[in-house]
Amino acid sequence: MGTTDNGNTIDITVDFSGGLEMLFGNQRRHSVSLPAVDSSGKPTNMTFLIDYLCTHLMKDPRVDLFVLDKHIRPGILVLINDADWELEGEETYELQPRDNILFVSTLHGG
Amino acid sequence: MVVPGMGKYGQLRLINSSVLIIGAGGLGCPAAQYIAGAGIGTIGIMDGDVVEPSNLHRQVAHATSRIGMPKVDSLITHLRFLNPLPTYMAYPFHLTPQNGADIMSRYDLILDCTDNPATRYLISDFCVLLQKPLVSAASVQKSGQLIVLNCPPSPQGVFDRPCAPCYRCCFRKPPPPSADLSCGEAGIMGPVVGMMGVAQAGEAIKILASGLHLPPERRSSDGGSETDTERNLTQPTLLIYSYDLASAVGPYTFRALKMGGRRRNCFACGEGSTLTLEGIRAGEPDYAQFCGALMPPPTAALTPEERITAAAYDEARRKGELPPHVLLDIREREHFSFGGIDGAVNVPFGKLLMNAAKIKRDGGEAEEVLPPEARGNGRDTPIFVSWG
Ligand SMILES: [Zn+2]
Repeated sequence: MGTTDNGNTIDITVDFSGGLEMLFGNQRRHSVSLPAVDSSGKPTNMTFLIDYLCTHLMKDPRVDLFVLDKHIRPGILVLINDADWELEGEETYELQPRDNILFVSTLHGG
Repeated sequence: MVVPGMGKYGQLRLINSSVLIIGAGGLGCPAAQYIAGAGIGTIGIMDGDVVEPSNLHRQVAHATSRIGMPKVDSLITHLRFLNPLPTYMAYPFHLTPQNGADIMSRYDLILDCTDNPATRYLISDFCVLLQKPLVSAASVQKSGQLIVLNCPPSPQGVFDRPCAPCYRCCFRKPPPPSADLSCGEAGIMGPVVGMMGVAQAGEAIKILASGLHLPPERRSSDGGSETDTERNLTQPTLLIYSYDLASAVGPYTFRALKMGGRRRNCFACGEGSTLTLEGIRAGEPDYAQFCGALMPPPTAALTPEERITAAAYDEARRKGELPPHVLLDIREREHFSFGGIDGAVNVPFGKLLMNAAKIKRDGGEAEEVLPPEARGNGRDTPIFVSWG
């Protein structure tokens, strides 16, 4: 995969916070290159990214700490370029080059 | 505390206002110090716990000499030394669906300094129904979060203008209990939770001094509308603080995240919400069940005969009464680093879970859940497990 936006791939950064980084090799920031379209030819969206993260980036086999029933598990906020993903269409959001996607688990301690 | 924008009228508003701090722990202690220092007229503190030695590294208003005292009394003792002038109200018990409305209704603003999801949803629901602004913070291990909710407050179900969200609007569902960590078991850095508590006080002072807790007609206008993006009220910012032990403060240490406004389908503040004070008092909704606290108790996997105390183990081992065996210490690496029983092999419980999940996913033999050095000489080697 290329490292520039050549039309065939989309390069984005993916961040994990609030303890989720533990599932991804204790690394907070990942550079990710995705195909610009999925296998059916549709533009790559958040559903694709979440599946990609589970199969390619997650080091920890406890997938259910990240995804439950094929959706992000309750208690995780998803931010697209620092805005709640509900403002952007959630799973249907089509990824753009240089997007930053942040997954952060909500905390309850004090 | 005279700074640009904070003059006589701001100070007068603070003197005439009241704040309820729910939770007198790692968030509540630092928050209360600055709330008291700001000269807020009435300060209520609610917490049902007593001071414990393991609290002191982060719960900075308590003291070694007050171990065993209700946290509420210990904190108020400390606050009176800082500032004797405010009226301090002590509530030495936990918030419940039954006691919440009566107490919270007496205050202008609520600080959520608690430590569990069920109480956080309960506090937010009361704030919606009583129309109180809520300054909510949380912290675990090396992360902190802060958000101002319900500010300015507006009645349930109002959508003819942009309204601020409640806790449920932003955090629709709690995590499954297995994914949530409490400070006691997960650990917490004192400065991280302290920073979030201090920030809560800062937000509270700002709201009260500018009268944002009051309905618009009782607030002196300073120009600008509530929907100004700079004021962030109806689409608040979630501040997250990530503390990295391995690096200096960096560009992502603090992040400001834009949240949505009030949600039409919110259970508490949305259209057609059925949430009422009477309902909450009567047990509807069931907060413990919503947050999974009513999970069936784990079945005991070991019989009493299969258990051994550390002292009995030590004695049996010294007398040579034990067969060749493996001693497994399943505490986290950091705990083990302080010391363990001679000869113990450290395989943290989290690592065991990961190995088990990997075998389930990729296949493999059950004994591969243990690394080779912890398997002894085959399947029949007894294993003693130490977790205390
Ligand atoms: Zn709501």
